[in-house]
Amino acid sequence: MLDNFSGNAIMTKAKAMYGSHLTVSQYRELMNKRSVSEIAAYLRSETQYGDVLKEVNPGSIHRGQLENLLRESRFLQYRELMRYNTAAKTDYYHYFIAEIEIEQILRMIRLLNMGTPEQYVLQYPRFVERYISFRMDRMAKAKSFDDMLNVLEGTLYPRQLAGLRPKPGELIDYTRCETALYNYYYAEIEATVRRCFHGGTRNQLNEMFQVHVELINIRNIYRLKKYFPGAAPDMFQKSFVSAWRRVPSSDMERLTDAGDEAAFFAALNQSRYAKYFEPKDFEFIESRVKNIRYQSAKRHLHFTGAAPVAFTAYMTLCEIELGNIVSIIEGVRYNVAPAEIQKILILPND
Amino acid sequence: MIEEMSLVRLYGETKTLDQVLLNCMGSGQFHPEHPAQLAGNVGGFALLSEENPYKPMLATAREIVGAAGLKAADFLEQGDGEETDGEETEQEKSLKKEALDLLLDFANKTENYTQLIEKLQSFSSEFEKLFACKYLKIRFGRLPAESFAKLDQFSGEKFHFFSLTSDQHYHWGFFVTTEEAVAEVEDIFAALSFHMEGKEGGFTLLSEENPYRLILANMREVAEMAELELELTAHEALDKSAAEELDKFILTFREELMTLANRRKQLEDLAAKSRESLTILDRLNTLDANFDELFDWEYVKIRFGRLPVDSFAKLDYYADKLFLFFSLSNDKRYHWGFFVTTPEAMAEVEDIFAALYFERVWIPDTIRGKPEAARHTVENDLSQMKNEIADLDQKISALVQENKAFFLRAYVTLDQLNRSFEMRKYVGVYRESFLLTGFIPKREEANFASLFMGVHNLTLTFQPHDSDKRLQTPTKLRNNWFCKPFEMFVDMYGTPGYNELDPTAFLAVTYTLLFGVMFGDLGQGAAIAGLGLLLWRMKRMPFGKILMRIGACSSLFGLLYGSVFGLEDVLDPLYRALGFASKPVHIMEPVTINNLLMVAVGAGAVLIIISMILNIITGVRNGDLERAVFSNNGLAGLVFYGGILAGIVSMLAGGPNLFTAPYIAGFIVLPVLVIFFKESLGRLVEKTGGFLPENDGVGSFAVEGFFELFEVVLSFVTNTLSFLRVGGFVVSHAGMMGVVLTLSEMSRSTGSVLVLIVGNVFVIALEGFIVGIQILRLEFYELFSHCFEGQGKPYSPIGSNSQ
Repeated sequence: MLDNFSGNAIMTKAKAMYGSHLTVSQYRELMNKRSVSEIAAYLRSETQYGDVLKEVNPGSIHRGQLENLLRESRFLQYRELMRYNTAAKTDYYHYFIAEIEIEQILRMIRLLNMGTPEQYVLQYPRFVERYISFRMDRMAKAKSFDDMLNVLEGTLYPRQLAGLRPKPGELIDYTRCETALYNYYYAEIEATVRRCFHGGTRNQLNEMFQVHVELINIRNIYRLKKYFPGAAPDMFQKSFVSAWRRVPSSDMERLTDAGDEAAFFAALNQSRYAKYFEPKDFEFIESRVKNIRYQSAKRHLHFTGAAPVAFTAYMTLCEIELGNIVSIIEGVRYNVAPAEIQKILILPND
Repeated sequence: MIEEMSLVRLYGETKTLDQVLLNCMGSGQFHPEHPAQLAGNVGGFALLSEENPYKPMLATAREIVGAAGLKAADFLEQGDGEETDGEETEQEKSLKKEALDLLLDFANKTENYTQLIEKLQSFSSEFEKLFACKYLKIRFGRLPAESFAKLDQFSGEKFHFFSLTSDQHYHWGFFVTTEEAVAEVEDIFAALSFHMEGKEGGFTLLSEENPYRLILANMREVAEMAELELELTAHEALDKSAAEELDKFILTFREELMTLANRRKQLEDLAAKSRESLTILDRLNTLDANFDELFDWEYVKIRFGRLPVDSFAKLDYYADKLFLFFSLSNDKRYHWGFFVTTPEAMAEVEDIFAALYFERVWIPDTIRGKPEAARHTVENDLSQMKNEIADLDQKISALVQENKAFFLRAYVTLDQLNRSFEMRKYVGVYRESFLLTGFIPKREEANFASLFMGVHNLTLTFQPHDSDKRLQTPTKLRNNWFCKPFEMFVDMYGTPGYNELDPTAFLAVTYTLLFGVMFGDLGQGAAIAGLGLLLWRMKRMPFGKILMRIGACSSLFGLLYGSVFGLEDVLDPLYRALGFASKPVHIMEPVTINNLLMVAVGAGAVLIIISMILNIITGVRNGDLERAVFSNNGLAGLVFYGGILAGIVSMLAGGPNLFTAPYIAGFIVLPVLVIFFKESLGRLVEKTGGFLPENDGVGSFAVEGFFELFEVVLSFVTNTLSFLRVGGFVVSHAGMMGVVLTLSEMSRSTGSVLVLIVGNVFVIALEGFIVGIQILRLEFYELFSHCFEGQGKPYSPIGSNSQ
């Protein structure tokens, strides 16, 4: 009973919060700003981000700081929704925290590969400090892969990464780490969904994550085909997220076996994803993938009656909105024409 | 009805223009016409003796003559050489020659003029004489055949028109008039669509820069600074002598005001900075040190600022770096404080802090000494500034008070001048003369003329409204007190054309009656009328007047239905006293409902017939036979509709079946055929074409005609049945009130009254609204569509406060 009430509250709250998301005309206004300060000032006075930006001085704000604050805002929204989560099904909602943890680990791996791990201290989001399973201030002091694994001790991540320790003098294999972590992440979510939910809720969550995972795989295959034309088959295997695979593996094989871009499109046209893509979409495959996610999330948020689905959909929409704003900030920062910026945005009427 | 209009033309000297324009505005009756409609082929006031506008063309003409191997003299020789004025002077000779050159030029320019020239060759002596005459002026051109026929009407005027040649549409020739009358005559011919050939220039439109606009803009700026409200009605305009000083006065006033205001702004800015300093001091007040000394340190450098809370927590990471950060105060997001480091390490430390999003705060010069002392100084400064600002405010207000009265009057004066200047767009000028054309109601002619009595050299003429074909006469509706408010609804549909019938009276009567019938209730009607009275009295809303009329009518019908706020028996004693057994109409009885619906449709049919008759009258008045006789809303439609109605009524009333073969042939088939061929018949009667359309094939004509006919027949049925709603709403009103009463009876004493009141308010608001809209719909769709086009031009006089 209580479960249902808390669920309803989360669902209603998520739907209500979505009402204050940016509108197309607000996006237009943002795209037409001339500096990061103007964007910050606009976000502060005209949007729901006003709360986190209240104290800042738009005139002197730094781009990174602004992005951090926007991320914090997204996290605060997560906390806001979690206030209503009085039920025992916290396991599922934890996936959002796991996502942040994996992002942080991957960020550290990137910095280690670049030889600038000391940058981590500037980048880690302190507002999640209390919620994640390892200490980021300790992570900031890591200087090597092993230091990092030490910091992660006591969590489930070292097990995923243990086999991927680089040989002395070599870089860490970022792609494999990424695949390993996300494989683990999606497998965990899949298991949690199976354990905690059934019926319509489970189906809807499956649908959302399946689409997402499959799109990631297709995107990865396409990137490999395009940028590494002679990539060996095991490269593909390396970059596959194996959870929730619904596309028959024969289909996937056809995609991976495709000799070049054209053959890839031909294979894609045979698959169940034909309806999602047109050749021109691959110019901006990232945004196309996001767009499909966006449509799916919006549809689920509108029509679902289940709290976990509404939650997932809402957090996805938040993430997409955040991505949009970050794209706009970068575009404006580098004087990109609004029309060009708009091409990579996922806008409500798209 | 539609007010009869007159066309007014004012000719005068430009120096009197301002006065004339102000008088026109003052009259409140003058509807100006834009001269752009008149320019073009209005030749203008140019007199040949004054300046020959053809001169530039002459050179070309001579060249052409030369090239064609003709000699101007050839033409002269063809005449018989008879002369009236004795010896020709040299000047006259050259004038003749020029005139001939001119004709030759025309001949070469326009093909039509070859005919003219041919004719002229046998006529040359006559026009030579005309040209030779100093006091006569001549204009060549072509006149539409239709206008030529009208020339007789102007027999008293001082001109003669000679038609030299003509075709189906035009007479080619010239008119002759005296030097004094040439302007007036030119205008008459212009109005008759005389196309003056080769004429260049003529009237130009006044397009000077409005000199008052800038001064007015200045004044508005000053008014904003001085916080003066610019009202036009409350103040009198200045007299003329004072008006000349205006510009200077405003500049001086503005300058004085600006000096004070600028100083005030300066102080405001300083005060804002001081307040900022105070905020900073608030943040740093835990610092027990002297700011001046801090900045004077040689081996330790210091930076004040704020650091995000998140970054503050990350400072531990830099424990090995050479700096110290002191937090003096903090809130949810920032730590306010300073860091110190050595000059050598400054660059590195500044980088670290920049990466941590440290925002440096510059300590303003106003902050000196210890925070506490600095605060004291700043607060002192601030209070001094406040005093000075208050002082300035007083000075400003004194200055404003001193100049206010004159300033506001100056504004009114300038506004008038400005608007009269804006009116100049309606003025055509040529050299020192101007021409202003417009319309006024015919009955205002005398009053209007009297306004211009004293104006020097002004010619004011009144002409019939249609004497200038280029202008569309504006429509001014004139209705009695009862119908006037309903003009609003007519305008909503469209302004009636000047030659149309004004449907306002028809609408006013039918609207009021229908509302009364559909919403009959003594109490609610009175409430609506009362609401209307309030709206009119308090808000001056014209709609209030309509509410008063329909509310009253609703009350009258309420008496008939015996209904007061939905209570059906309250009036019974009254009826008994009057000798009736009970109320006259019992709406909810089945028999009444049946009859009600029949009567509604019947009344609708009658209204439709009336609207068709109105259409026929309009058609006849405009000589539009197609509209009056052949169209579906003309006689043919009326016969068809009337024929079918008569047949049905006869059948329903138990009379003979009228639908016999001859009846059907005469009253149904024949009018349908006439409607089908209405355009063809119209063309035949007006002799503007053949029976079949010129551009379309027979097939498309037949198909189009058939569908049109189908629609016509269908719309007769739907329009009639549409009136069923009248009966429907009578019943629905009674029904809704029945529900309210039932609910009221179910409640207890106080509640019952409350339900009754709320119910009544609800019904008045909802049903009153719906009924009002439904009737308007009936009027527009079912009635206006039969008789009214609404393509007129609204009459909008330039008044003191409009345009």
